[in-house]
Amino acid sequence: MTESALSVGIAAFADSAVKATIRILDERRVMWLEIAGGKHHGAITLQGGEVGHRAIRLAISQGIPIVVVIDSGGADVNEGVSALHGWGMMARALVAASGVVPSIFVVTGACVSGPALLLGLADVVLMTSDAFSYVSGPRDVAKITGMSVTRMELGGSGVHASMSGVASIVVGDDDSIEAVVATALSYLPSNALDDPPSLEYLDDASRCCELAAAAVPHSMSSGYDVRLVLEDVFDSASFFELRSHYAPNMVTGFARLGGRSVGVVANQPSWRAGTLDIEASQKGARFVAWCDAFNIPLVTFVDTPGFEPGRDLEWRGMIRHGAQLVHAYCEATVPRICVVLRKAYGGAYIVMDSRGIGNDVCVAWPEAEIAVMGTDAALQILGSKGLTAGEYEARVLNPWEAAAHGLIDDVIAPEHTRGVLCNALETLIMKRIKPVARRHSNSPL
Amino acid sequence: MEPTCKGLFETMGIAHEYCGETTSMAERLIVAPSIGLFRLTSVAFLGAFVDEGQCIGVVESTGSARDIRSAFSGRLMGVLARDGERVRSGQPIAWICA
Repeated sequence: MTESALSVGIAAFADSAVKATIRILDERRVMWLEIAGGKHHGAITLQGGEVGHRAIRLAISQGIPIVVVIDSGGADVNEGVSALHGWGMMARALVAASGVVPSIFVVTGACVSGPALLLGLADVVLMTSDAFSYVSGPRDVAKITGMSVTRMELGGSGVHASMSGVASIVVGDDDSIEAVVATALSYLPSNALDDPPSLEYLDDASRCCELAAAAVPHSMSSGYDVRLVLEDVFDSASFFELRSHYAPNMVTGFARLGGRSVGVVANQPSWRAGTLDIEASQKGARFVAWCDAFNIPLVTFVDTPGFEPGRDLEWRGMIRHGAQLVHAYCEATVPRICVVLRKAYGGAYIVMDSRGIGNDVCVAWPEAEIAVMGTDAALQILGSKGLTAGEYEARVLNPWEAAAHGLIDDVIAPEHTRGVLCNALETLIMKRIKPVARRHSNSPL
Repeated sequence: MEPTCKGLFETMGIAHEYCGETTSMAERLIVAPSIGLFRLTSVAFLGAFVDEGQCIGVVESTGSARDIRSAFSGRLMGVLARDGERVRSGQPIAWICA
């Protein structure tokens, strides 16, 4: 298909700032919506909101992904309250599209004021390095708090990549936007009724993973970059990380196994030992729910010593946010495979797609420690009863106790991980679970 | 014809500044100037008048302490941070009604 053959403008002359086109991107139809320019720096008018609303509704009915490229000063205040209504209509349409067709936002300049909330509704947000986004700007921050901040300090791409988690990816320049959007979409189906694209692959399904095996240290207290494991286990060069700078103690991204798309969730032992905190739980939860919405199987890699302790964390709601991750996994009906690489202690073991919350296949590496707690914590409680570290480690800190209870299916050689995962995915790919009759669950948002 | 505000800001020559949402309220926030442990230093009574520049507490970090000063004058409506809480730079510590 050529682009010119299937590029169709939607309400092409209705608004000067909001332009919608159905076009071809990487041989797939997408709804391409640009919000920029016009009379007031891409400000959204009532008419513009109606164009956006219509385009998104059309994308839903066509079952095609939505890409919104935005450089906007927000709602057009010159139009008064009707402009607010305009972006409200777009928000309603985007929520209707959520879980039906993928939505990707690209911020190429500003995305401020109320319409900035549209970014929070999107599945993926790309920002160029000079882009910025905030609800209330520097002027209002100074007015209410007395603090002086610049646009970039308040809501620059760096802030949203690392602090807020709004930005999934930051791209260096406008030229690479289409390629990155196409890459993200290549892992996703066009709509929730389709399966994700399956590509031909050249990588041997049974290839030994010596690099992955060597990446994980024998010492339980040593850190390592779990991405070395992921890059070796999945199809060559297929791992595509999202939100890499936000909550780096949890790695999320797409990859391929035998050409099939999978969603990857992994603890990152090189960052605060891979402990789970609020941000990591939220990051993992939203990714799991997103994969589940679009029929993308999940592969989870576990190496975590537990939840990060702290008064600040508990006060900010570790319970509610940790529950988000539990909820997301428990609701996921796509094929779910879990690999325990090393430490899997306590509640954190449970929330990382354990058998208890419903994984389909769970394997462990031979040096995995699946237990209620590690040695030092156990000795504080049991040491007074004469238990030694050696006895505890020999009896409890291994994968065999969990295997004996059917909580893991097999203990595998690390080098064989790729082959095991490929076989498991092939076996599970037809998994279908009929949803129970209810309006929706009450997610711990 | 019904009255309309269409074009009101434009005709008044108000420039577009990517200003974001604008909040209209008399309340103001006293925020932490840096990261650290919050310590309440003044005995702050609810309803007491706080002067601009008045110190209501400190943020302690390794080997130093920075005053938390109000950028506004007004009546103290509530202290939001707890004594001993770890606070971030810019985190609201108290709110006042100007």
